[in-house]
Amino acid sequence: MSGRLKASTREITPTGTTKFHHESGQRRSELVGWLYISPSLLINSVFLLFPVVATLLLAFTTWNGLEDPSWTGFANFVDIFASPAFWQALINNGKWTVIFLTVPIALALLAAAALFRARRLRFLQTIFLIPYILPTVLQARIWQGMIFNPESGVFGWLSKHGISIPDPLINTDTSLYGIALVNLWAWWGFLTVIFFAAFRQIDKELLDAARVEGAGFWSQLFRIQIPLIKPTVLFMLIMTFVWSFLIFDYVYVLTDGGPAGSSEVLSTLAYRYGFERFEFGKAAAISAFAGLLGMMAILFYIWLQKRGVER
Amino acid sequence: MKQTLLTLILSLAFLAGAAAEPKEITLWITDFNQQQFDDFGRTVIDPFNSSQSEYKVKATLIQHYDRELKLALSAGKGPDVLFTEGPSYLVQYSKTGFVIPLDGYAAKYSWDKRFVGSMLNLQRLNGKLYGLPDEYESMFLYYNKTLFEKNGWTPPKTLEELQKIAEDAKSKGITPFAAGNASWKGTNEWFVTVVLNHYAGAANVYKALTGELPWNAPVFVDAIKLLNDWWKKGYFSKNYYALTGTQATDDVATGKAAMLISGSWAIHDLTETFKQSGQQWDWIAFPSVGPEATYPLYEIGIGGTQSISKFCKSPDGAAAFLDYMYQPKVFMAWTEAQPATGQLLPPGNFADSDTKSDKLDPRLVKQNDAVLACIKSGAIGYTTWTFWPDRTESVIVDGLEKVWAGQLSEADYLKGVNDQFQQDKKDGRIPPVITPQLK
Repeated sequence: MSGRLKASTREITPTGTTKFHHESGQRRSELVGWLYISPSLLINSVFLLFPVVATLLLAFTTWNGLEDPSWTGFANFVDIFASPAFWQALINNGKWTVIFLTVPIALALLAAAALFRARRLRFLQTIFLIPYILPTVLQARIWQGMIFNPESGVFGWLSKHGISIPDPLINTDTSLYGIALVNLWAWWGFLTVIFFAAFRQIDKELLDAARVEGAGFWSQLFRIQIPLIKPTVLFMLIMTFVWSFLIFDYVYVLTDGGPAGSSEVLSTLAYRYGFERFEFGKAAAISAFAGLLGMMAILFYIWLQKRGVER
Repeated sequence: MKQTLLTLILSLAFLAGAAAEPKEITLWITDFNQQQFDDFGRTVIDPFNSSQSEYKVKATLIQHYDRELKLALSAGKGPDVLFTEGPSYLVQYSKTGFVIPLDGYAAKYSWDKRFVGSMLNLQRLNGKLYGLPDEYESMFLYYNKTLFEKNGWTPPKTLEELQKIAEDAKSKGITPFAAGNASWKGTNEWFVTVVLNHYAGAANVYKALTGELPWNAPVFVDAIKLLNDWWKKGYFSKNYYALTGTQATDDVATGKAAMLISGSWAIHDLTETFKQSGQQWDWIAFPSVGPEATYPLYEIGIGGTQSISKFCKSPDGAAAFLDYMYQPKVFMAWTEAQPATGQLLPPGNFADSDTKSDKLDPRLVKQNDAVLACIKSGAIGYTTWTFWPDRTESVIVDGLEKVWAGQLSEADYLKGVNDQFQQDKKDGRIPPVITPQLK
């Protein structure tokens, strides 16, 4: 107790001693910070840093999983950049990103705003969330076998009754959008719950004041609610970008990148190189490229944080 | 003194107990359902374990086998008895020294007499035997016999006969060839295998496999053009990419489709689906659809090989198990337990009495006899998944969809196949090939 008093006495005196105490306190709190962060740093170092470094190194080698890897420099990158399949996959990832940065975000913001306004509808958030908690493979099988399938699904039943809707997964022009639809079905509900939770943090007095001033639903949504949850929206946008370049499971289960590579994305292409052709060097090069894009998005987010843009 | 004596007795007893403990031989099994796994244990593993006391085989069902195997081997582990998905896969394991030569065991157990030489030689690399042929397969043209009789169609043997039935079927709203790759993308290569052999002919395929002819030679381009022509004409199921193999077979069973281009493995689905529809099915050798093809011709496929891992601590035990597994009595017990798997009997020099069983579907027995006769005569065709290197096989599977989608010409598709094949050849990844005895 006396020590604390002593320290505070020193703090109010603008001398070198006080400065020393201020620095010492800062150093101590930094030390505590490091202490708290050390478990996650340790886990990340072991389970993340090592695989990342190994993948990066592997990208510069030829390795079939059995023989010792041999150093090939940038040959894997040269090969994959020369491959039309790579560019097709990259374009598909781009399309996927555009879809997921717009459609589910817009749908979710709208649905969250509606739930926020209409208290009686709030039970719907549970229903919206159900698809998200289903395992991906189950979601995929529901759509592939029970809805899209021209023999056993709803589309097949409709077709027998004169309403012909083609299975989007089997057409080269629509396969990617078919997969995106399945993923959207699960994803937008999750986003709705996130945005709804963010809306609930808004000071009600602000909204009441706006209402008194005559602001309607759209005006409140675009001028007050969305600006006030900007950090949440921005974070979800950045993460959507990152996740869009990691998409694998839906594509793998629903089309395996087909037909004719029309729904191939970088991760399924990397899987194909790695586990079908056992060219782990090329698989690692594709993964490294995809990882680089995700890293850029995260760095952009950190830059925005530093500039205070998200506040 | 008493204590020392007691310790000595106990130690000796422990050592004696340890010596009596059978040495474990591990085996990884993939692509079996639980019933098949249990049947295999009951008919093969348990009898082996009871037949002697020195070794005990322990089997484990493994998902993503190839991937898991490579990861385990790179860590110095993995199963003692090493299964690969065919000779082209075995090449990599033998090249890298992960499997041991079996020549000593082959001599000890007279495997060269039990197995047909040409089939055994597919596992022979640089003069050494690295594996035994396990599953062998072939391609056939299955058809709905009831539908054929109703429409007055005779099972086709030529291109003209085949296309005439296909056109007639189409005009009646019947799909000529039921097909679907939703459950197995590799379905694509069945059709490539069929046209390469039955249009371009086994002799040309052999020339290309041995480097005398490029894969983009006109005769192969024409073969793929024929296949693409069938696709464009709508001979294959409209929902090819949505149908599973079973759904496609069901379409034949219910008369929605007339024929099925598939392998010996299709017998399982055919048995099940036709049982439900109450109609009849049969098979015929795939027609000769090109000027240079012979008839009848059966493509040979080795769907698996069995080897011994270099990390195996009891290779003698593993060899004893392999020898036991391929005793005619043992594999017949296993085949009879799964009479509808459609897995042809291992290609061996067996007496007819060894392989006779009234539990097997007579159509499977007929297939078995036809293919075995073809193997023994040397007039064989080649399946892409047995005689092509694995990376080239991957190009064959993926590229065909692009041809069908109109994104790749037949010539460009085969140029890609040829480029990959030449690269694989350079990298020493080409599996052994059987020289055909052409008539």
